[in-house]
Amino acid sequence: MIKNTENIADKKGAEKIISIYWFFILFIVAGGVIYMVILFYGEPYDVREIEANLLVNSIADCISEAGFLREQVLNKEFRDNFLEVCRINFNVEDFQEWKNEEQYYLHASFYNFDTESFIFDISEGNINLEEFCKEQYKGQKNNPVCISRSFYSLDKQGGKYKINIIGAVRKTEKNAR
Amino acid sequence: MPDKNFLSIKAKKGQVSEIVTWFAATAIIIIFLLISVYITSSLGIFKGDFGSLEAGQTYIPAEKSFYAYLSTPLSKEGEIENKIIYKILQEQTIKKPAVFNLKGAEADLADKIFNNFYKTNFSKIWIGFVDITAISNTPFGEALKETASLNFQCSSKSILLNPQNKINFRMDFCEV
Repeated sequence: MIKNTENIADKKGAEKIISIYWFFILFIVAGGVIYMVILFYGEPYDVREIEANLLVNSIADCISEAGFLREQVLNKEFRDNFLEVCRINFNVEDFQEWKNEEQYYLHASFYNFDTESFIFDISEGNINLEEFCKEQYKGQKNNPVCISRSFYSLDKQGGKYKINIIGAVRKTEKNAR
Repeated sequence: MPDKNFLSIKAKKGQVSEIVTWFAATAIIIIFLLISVYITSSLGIFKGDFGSLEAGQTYIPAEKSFYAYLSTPLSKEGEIENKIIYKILQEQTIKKPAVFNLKGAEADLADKIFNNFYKTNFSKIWIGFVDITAISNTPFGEALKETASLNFQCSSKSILLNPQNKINFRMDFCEV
Protein backbone atom coordinates (compact mmCIF):
# COMPACT_ATOMS: atom_id res chain seq x y z
CA MET A 1 0.00 0.00 0.00
CA ILE A 2 2.81 2.40 1.03
CA LYS A 3 4.77 1.33 -2.10
CA ASN A 4 1.84 2.34 -4.35
CA THR A 5 1.55 5.77 -2.70
CA GLU A 6 5.31 6.29 -3.19
CA ASN A 7 4.97 5.36 -6.88
CA ILE A 8 2.18 7.91 -7.41
CA ALA A 9 4.20 10.62 -5.65
CA ASP A 10 7.25 9.75 -7.83
CA LYS A 11 5.15 10.00 -10.97
CA LYS A 12 3.72 13.37 -9.93
CA GLY A 13 7.26 14.69 -9.23
CA ALA A 14 8.44 13.51 -12.63
CA GLU A 15 5.47 15.15 -14.35
CA LYS A 16 6.31 18.44 -12.63
CA ILE A 17 9.91 18.26 -13.86
CA ILE A 18 8.69 17.50 -17.39
CA SER A 19 6.30 20.46 -17.40
CA ILE A 20 9.11 22.77 -16.21
CA TYR A 21 11.22 21.41 -19.04
CA TRP A 22 8.44 22.05 -21.57
CA PHE A 23 8.05 25.62 -20.34
CA PHE A 24 11.81 26.07 -20.66
CA ILE A 25 11.73 24.84 -24.29
CA LEU A 26 8.65 26.95 -25.01
CA PHE A 27 10.43 30.10 -23.78
CA ILE A 28 13.56 29.29 -25.79
CA VAL A 29 11.54 28.76 -29.00
CA ALA A 30 9.37 31.86 -28.41
CA GLY A 31 12.50 33.89 -27.62
CA GLY A 32 14.12 32.61 -30.81
CA VAL A 33 11.10 33.55 -32.93
CA ILE A 34 10.93 37.04 -31.36
CA TYR A 35 14.68 37.51 -31.94
CA MET A 36 14.31 36.47 -35.59
CA VAL A 37 11.40 38.85 -36.16
CA ILE A 38 13.37 41.73 -34.58
CA LEU A 39 16.40 40.78 -36.66
CA PHE A 40 14.40 40.88 -39.90
CA TYR A 41 11.99 43.74 -39.30
CA GLY A 42 13.97 45.73 -36.72
CA GLU A 43 15.88 47.76 -39.30
CA PRO A 44 13.83 50.27 -41.25
CA TYR A 45 13.27 49.96 -44.97
CA ASP A 46 15.43 52.55 -46.68
CA VAL A 47 13.23 53.98 -49.42
CA ARG A 48 15.17 57.18 -50.00
CA GLU A 49 16.70 55.98 -53.27
CA ILE A 50 13.21 55.28 -54.64
CA GLU A 51 12.08 58.69 -53.42
CA ALA A 52 15.06 60.42 -55.05
CA ASN A 53 14.41 58.48 -58.28
CA LEU A 54 10.76 59.54 -58.27
CA LEU A 55 11.81 63.14 -57.70
CA VAL A 56 14.27 63.06 -60.60
CA ASN A 57 11.76 61.30 -62.87
CA SER A 58 9.04 63.83 -62.18
CA ILE A 59 11.47 66.68 -62.93
CA ALA A 60 12.52 64.96 -66.16
CA ASP A 61 8.83 64.58 -67.10
CA CYS A 62 8.24 68.24 -66.36
CA ILE A 63 11.21 69.42 -68.43
CA SER A 64 10.95 67.18 -71.46
CA GLU A 65 8.13 65.48 -73.31
CA ALA A 66 8.52 62.97 -76.15
CA GLY A 67 12.14 64.00 -76.67
CA PHE A 68 11.54 67.76 -76.78
CA LEU A 69 11.96 70.41 -74.10
CA ARG A 70 8.70 72.02 -73.06
CA GLU A 71 8.61 75.48 -74.58
CA GLN A 72 8.38 77.33 -71.27
CA VAL A 73 11.54 75.66 -69.89
CA LEU A 74 13.75 78.22 -71.59
CA ASN A 75 11.79 81.13 -70.08
CA LYS A 76 12.91 82.82 -66.88
CA GLU A 77 9.39 82.55 -65.45
CA PHE A 78 9.58 78.77 -65.55
CA ARG A 79 12.86 78.78 -63.64
CA ASP A 80 11.53 81.18 -61.01
CA ASN A 81 8.35 79.15 -60.37
CA PHE A 82 9.86 75.76 -61.05
CA LEU A 83 8.25 73.90 -58.12
CA GLU A 84 4.76 75.26 -58.76
CA VAL A 85 4.90 74.66 -62.51
CA CYS A 86 6.14 71.10 -62.03
CA ARG A 87 3.68 70.51 -59.18
CA ILE A 88 6.36 69.44 -56.74
CA ASN A 89 6.30 70.27 -53.04
CA PHE A 90 8.87 69.55 -50.38
CA ASN A 91 6.39 69.15 -47.50
CA VAL A 92 7.34 66.54 -44.92
CA GLU A 93 5.72 65.08 -41.82
CA ASP A 94 6.44 66.77 -38.50
CA PHE A 95 9.12 64.40 -37.23
CA GLN A 96 12.29 65.24 -35.30
CA GLU A 97 12.47 68.86 -36.47
CA TRP A 98 12.23 67.92 -40.15
CA LYS A 99 10.10 70.99 -40.67
CA ASN A 100 13.01 73.22 -39.64
CA GLU A 101 15.42 71.79 -42.18
CA GLU A 102 14.42 70.96 -45.74
CA GLN A 103 14.71 67.27 -46.48
CA TYR A 104 14.99 67.48 -50.26
CA TYR A 105 17.29 69.02 -52.81
CA LEU A 106 17.12 69.13 -56.58
CA HIS A 107 19.34 70.63 -59.19
CA ALA A 108 18.82 70.59 -62.96
CA SER A 109 21.66 71.80 -65.18
CA PHE A 110 21.33 72.42 -68.90
CA TYR A 111 24.34 72.04 -71.23
CA ASN A 112 24.81 72.42 -74.95
CA PHE A 113 25.08 68.82 -76.16
CA ASP A 114 27.69 69.49 -78.88
CA THR A 115 29.98 71.94 -77.09
CA GLU A 116 29.17 70.76 -73.52
CA SER A 117 29.05 74.42 -72.46
CA PHE A 118 26.84 75.32 -69.49
CA ILE A 119 23.63 77.19 -70.37
CA PHE A 120 21.60 77.59 -67.16
CA ASP A 121 20.50 75.71 -64.09
CA ILE A 122 17.60 75.43 -61.69
CA SER A 123 18.10 74.65 -58.02
CA GLU A 124 15.60 74.16 -55.18
CA GLY A 125 15.60 72.81 -51.63
CA ASN A 126 18.33 72.28 -49.06
CA ILE A 127 21.60 73.13 -50.82
CA ASN A 128 23.63 71.51 -48.00
CA LEU A 129 22.54 68.11 -49.31
CA GLU A 130 24.50 68.64 -52.54
CA GLU A 131 27.71 67.86 -50.65
CA PHE A 132 26.51 64.25 -50.24
CA CYS A 133 26.38 63.74 -54.00
CA LYS A 134 30.17 63.44 -54.05
CA GLU A 135 31.54 59.97 -54.72
CA GLN A 136 33.10 59.67 -51.24
CA TYR A 137 29.69 59.76 -49.50
CA LYS A 138 27.91 57.26 -51.74
CA GLY A 139 26.69 54.02 -50.18
CA GLN A 140 27.04 55.29 -46.61
CA LYS A 141 23.81 54.45 -44.80
CA ASN A 142 23.69 57.37 -42.40
CA ASN A 143 24.15 60.05 -45.06
CA PRO A 144 21.46 61.57 -47.25
CA VAL A 145 20.86 59.67 -50.50
CA CYS A 146 21.73 61.47 -53.70
CA ILE A 147 21.23 60.35 -57.29
CA SER A 148 22.26 61.94 -60.55
CA ARG A 149 20.67 61.25 -63.94
CA SER A 150 21.34 62.65 -67.40
CA PHE A 151 19.33 62.69 -70.55
CA TYR A 152 19.41 64.12 -74.03
CA SER A 153 16.74 66.45 -75.34
CA LEU A 154 15.95 68.77 -78.24
CA ASP A 155 14.18 72.08 -78.56
CA LYS A 156 11.76 72.93 -81.36
CA GLN A 157 14.48 74.90 -83.18
CA GLY A 158 16.71 71.84 -83.36
CA GLY A 159 18.99 72.80 -80.46
CA LYS A 160 20.50 69.82 -78.64
CA TYR A 161 20.79 69.71 -74.86
CA LYS A 162 22.33 67.52 -72.23
CA ILE A 163 20.30 67.80 -69.03
CA ASN A 164 21.73 66.64 -65.75
CA ILE A 165 19.38 66.27 -62.77
CA ILE A 166 20.50 65.72 -59.20
CA GLY A 167 17.97 64.67 -56.56
CA ALA A 168 18.84 64.29 -52.87
CA VAL A 169 16.74 63.09 -49.93
CA ARG A 170 17.79 63.38 -46.27
CA LYS A 171 15.21 61.73 -43.96
CA THR A 172 18.00 59.83 -42.24
CA GLU A 173 16.16 59.34 -38.94
CA LYS A 174 13.41 57.21 -40.46
CA ASN A 175 15.37 55.31 -43.10
CA ALA A 176 18.70 54.48 -41.51
CA ARG A 177 19.55 53.22 -38.04
CA MET B 1 11.56 -13.66 -8.53
CA PRO B 2 14.10 -11.09 -9.85
CA ASP B 3 16.83 -9.77 -7.62
CA LYS B 4 16.08 -6.32 -5.97
CA ASN B 5 19.55 -5.01 -6.97
CA PHE B 6 19.03 -6.10 -10.54
CA LEU B 7 15.72 -4.20 -10.66
CA SER B 8 17.23 -0.97 -9.30
CA ILE B 9 20.13 -1.13 -11.86
CA LYS B 10 17.59 -1.60 -14.63
CA ALA B 11 15.52 1.34 -13.34
CA LYS B 12 18.63 3.55 -13.17
CA LYS B 13 19.62 2.56 -16.72
CA GLY B 14 16.10 3.43 -17.85
CA GLN B 15 16.31 6.81 -16.16
CA VAL B 16 19.71 7.59 -17.70
CA SER B 17 18.50 6.70 -21.21
CA GLU B 18 15.43 8.88 -20.72
CA ILE B 19 17.60 11.84 -19.61
CA VAL B 20 19.87 11.35 -22.65
CA THR B 21 16.79 11.41 -24.92
CA TRP B 22 15.63 14.69 -23.38
CA PHE B 23 19.09 16.22 -23.71
CA ALA B 24 19.30 15.14 -27.35
CA ALA B 25 15.84 16.59 -28.05
CA THR B 26 16.81 19.89 -26.40
CA ALA B 27 20.06 20.04 -28.36
CA ILE B 28 18.20 19.41 -31.65
CA ILE B 29 15.68 22.16 -30.86
CA ILE B 30 18.44 24.66 -30.01
CA ILE B 31 20.50 23.76 -33.11
CA PHE B 32 17.40 24.14 -35.29
CA LEU B 33 16.71 27.51 -33.69
CA LEU B 34 20.27 28.73 -34.25
CA ILE B 35 20.12 27.69 -37.93
CA SER B 36 16.83 29.61 -38.29
CA VAL B 37 18.37 32.71 -36.68
CA TYR B 38 21.35 32.47 -39.04
CA ILE B 39 19.07 32.17 -42.12
CA THR B 40 16.97 35.11 -40.94
CA SER B 41 20.01 37.33 -40.42
CA SER B 42 21.37 36.47 -43.88
CA LEU B 43 17.95 37.13 -45.48
CA GLY B 44 17.95 40.56 -43.85
CA ILE B 45 20.84 41.62 -46.13
CA PHE B 46 18.60 41.37 -49.20
CA LYS B 47 15.65 43.08 -47.54
CA GLY B 48 16.76 46.65 -48.02
CA ASP B 49 17.73 46.40 -51.69
CA PHE B 50 15.48 49.13 -53.00
CA GLY B 51 16.03 51.54 -55.81
CA SER B 52 17.50 49.18 -58.36
CA LEU B 53 15.71 48.50 -61.60
CA GLU B 54 12.75 46.13 -61.50
CA ALA B 55 11.90 43.84 -64.41
CA GLY B 56 9.73 45.59 -66.96
CA GLN B 57 10.29 49.01 -65.40
CA THR B 58 11.26 51.78 -67.81
CA TYR B 59 14.28 53.89 -67.02
CA ILE B 60 12.74 57.35 -67.57
CA PRO B 61 15.90 59.39 -68.38
CA ALA B 62 16.96 56.81 -71.00
CA GLU B 63 13.45 56.74 -72.46
CA LYS B 64 13.58 60.54 -72.88
CA SER B 65 16.98 60.28 -74.56
CA PHE B 66 15.66 57.51 -76.84
CA TYR B 67 12.79 59.63 -78.16
CA ALA B 68 15.04 62.69 -78.52
CA TYR B 69 17.61 60.58 -80.38
CA LEU B 70 15.00 59.34 -82.86
CA SER B 71 13.73 62.93 -83.36
CA THR B 72 17.19 64.37 -84.06
CA PRO B 73 17.53 65.77 -87.59
CA LEU B 74 20.67 64.74 -89.48
CA SER B 75 22.04 66.19 -92.70
CA LYS B 76 22.90 63.51 -95.25
CA GLU B 77 25.17 63.95 -98.23
CA GLY B 78 23.26 64.62 -101.47
CA GLU B 79 20.02 65.39 -99.66
CA ILE B 80 18.68 68.93 -99.34
CA GLU B 81 16.31 68.34 -96.45
CA ASN B 82 17.47 67.14 -93.02
CA LYS B 83 15.77 63.91 -92.03
CA ILE B 84 15.15 62.81 -88.48
CA ILE B 85 16.90 59.62 -87.39
CA TYR B 86 13.58 57.73 -87.13
CA LYS B 87 12.96 58.40 -90.84
CA ILE B 88 16.54 57.43 -91.81
CA LEU B 89 16.29 54.14 -89.90
CA GLN B 90 12.85 53.46 -91.36
CA GLU B 91 14.20 53.90 -94.90
CA GLN B 92 17.03 51.48 -94.10
CA THR B 93 14.45 48.78 -93.35
CA ILE B 94 12.49 49.44 -96.57
CA LYS B 95 15.60 49.34 -98.80
CA LYS B 96 16.31 46.21 -100.82
CA PRO B 97 18.35 44.63 -99.37
CA ALA B 98 17.41 46.10 -96.01
CA VAL B 99 20.21 47.41 -93.77
CA PHE B 100 19.94 46.54 -90.10
CA ASN B 101 23.24 47.97 -88.99
CA LEU B 102 23.74 51.29 -87.24
CA LYS B 103 26.33 53.32 -89.13
CA GLY B 104 27.57 56.83 -89.77
CA ALA B 105 26.26 59.81 -87.85
CA GLU B 106 23.34 57.80 -86.38
CA ALA B 107 25.73 55.32 -84.80
CA ASP B 108 28.05 58.05 -83.52
CA LEU B 109 25.19 59.98 -81.91
CA ALA B 110 23.75 56.82 -80.32
CA ASP B 111 27.17 55.99 -78.92
CA LYS B 112 27.67 59.55 -77.63
CA ILE B 113 24.29 59.63 -75.90
CA PHE B 114 23.71 56.15 -74.57
CA ASN B 115 27.21 54.92 -73.81
CA ASN B 116 28.35 58.25 -72.36
CA PHE B 117 25.32 58.92 -70.18
CA TYR B 118 24.40 55.48 -68.90
CA LYS B 119 27.53 53.33 -68.91
CA THR B 120 28.07 53.91 -65.19
CA ASN B 121 24.51 52.83 -64.26
CA PHE B 122 24.15 49.79 -66.51
CA SER B 123 26.56 47.02 -67.40
CA LYS B 124 24.95 46.34 -70.78
CA ILE B 125 23.41 48.86 -73.14
CA TRP B 126 22.03 47.80 -76.48
CA ILE B 127 20.28 49.82 -79.19
CA GLY B 128 19.25 48.34 -82.51
CA PHE B 129 16.76 46.78 -84.88
CA VAL B 130 14.47 43.98 -83.84
CA ASP B 131 12.95 41.58 -86.34
CA ILE B 132 11.64 38.43 -84.67
CA THR B 133 14.72 38.62 -82.46
CA ALA B 134 17.21 41.43 -81.92
CA ILE B 135 19.65 41.91 -84.79
CA SER B 136 23.22 42.58 -83.68
CA ASN B 137 24.95 45.71 -84.94
CA THR B 138 28.47 47.13 -85.00
CA PRO B 139 28.42 49.75 -82.24
CA PHE B 140 26.36 47.83 -79.66
CA GLY B 141 27.01 44.18 -80.60
CA GLU B 142 24.60 41.45 -79.60
CA ALA B 143 21.49 42.12 -77.51
CA LEU B 144 21.85 40.62 -74.06
CA LYS B 145 18.13 40.11 -73.64
CA GLU B 146 18.14 37.38 -76.28
CA THR B 147 21.45 35.72 -75.50
CA ALA B 148 21.01 35.26 -71.76
CA SER B 149 18.10 34.65 -69.48
CA LEU B 150 17.44 35.44 -65.82
CA ASN B 151 20.19 36.82 -63.56
CA PHE B 152 19.73 40.32 -64.91
CA GLN B 153 17.15 43.06 -65.02
CA CYS B 154 16.51 44.94 -68.25
CA SER B 155 14.62 48.10 -69.00
CA SER B 156 13.45 48.20 -72.60
CA LYS B 157 11.68 50.59 -74.88
CA SER B 158 10.82 49.91 -78.48
CA ILE B 159 9.22 51.80 -81.32
CA LEU B 160 7.68 50.40 -84.49
CA LEU B 161 9.72 51.31 -87.58
CA ASN B 162 8.21 49.21 -90.31
CA PRO B 163 4.65 47.92 -89.77
CA GLN B 164 4.70 45.73 -92.90
CA ASN B 165 7.77 43.74 -91.92
CA LYS B 166 7.11 44.19 -88.20
CA ILE B 167 10.51 45.70 -87.55
CA ASN B 168 11.05 47.61 -84.33
CA PHE B 169 13.85 49.76 -83.03
CA ARG B 170 14.66 48.96 -79.42
CA MET B 171 16.87 50.01 -76.54
CA ASP B 172 17.81 47.70 -73.66
CA PHE B 173 19.47 48.77 -70.46
CA CYS B 174 20.49 45.80 -68.35
CA GLU B 175 21.93 45.33 -64.89
CA VAL B 176 23.81 42.05 -64.95
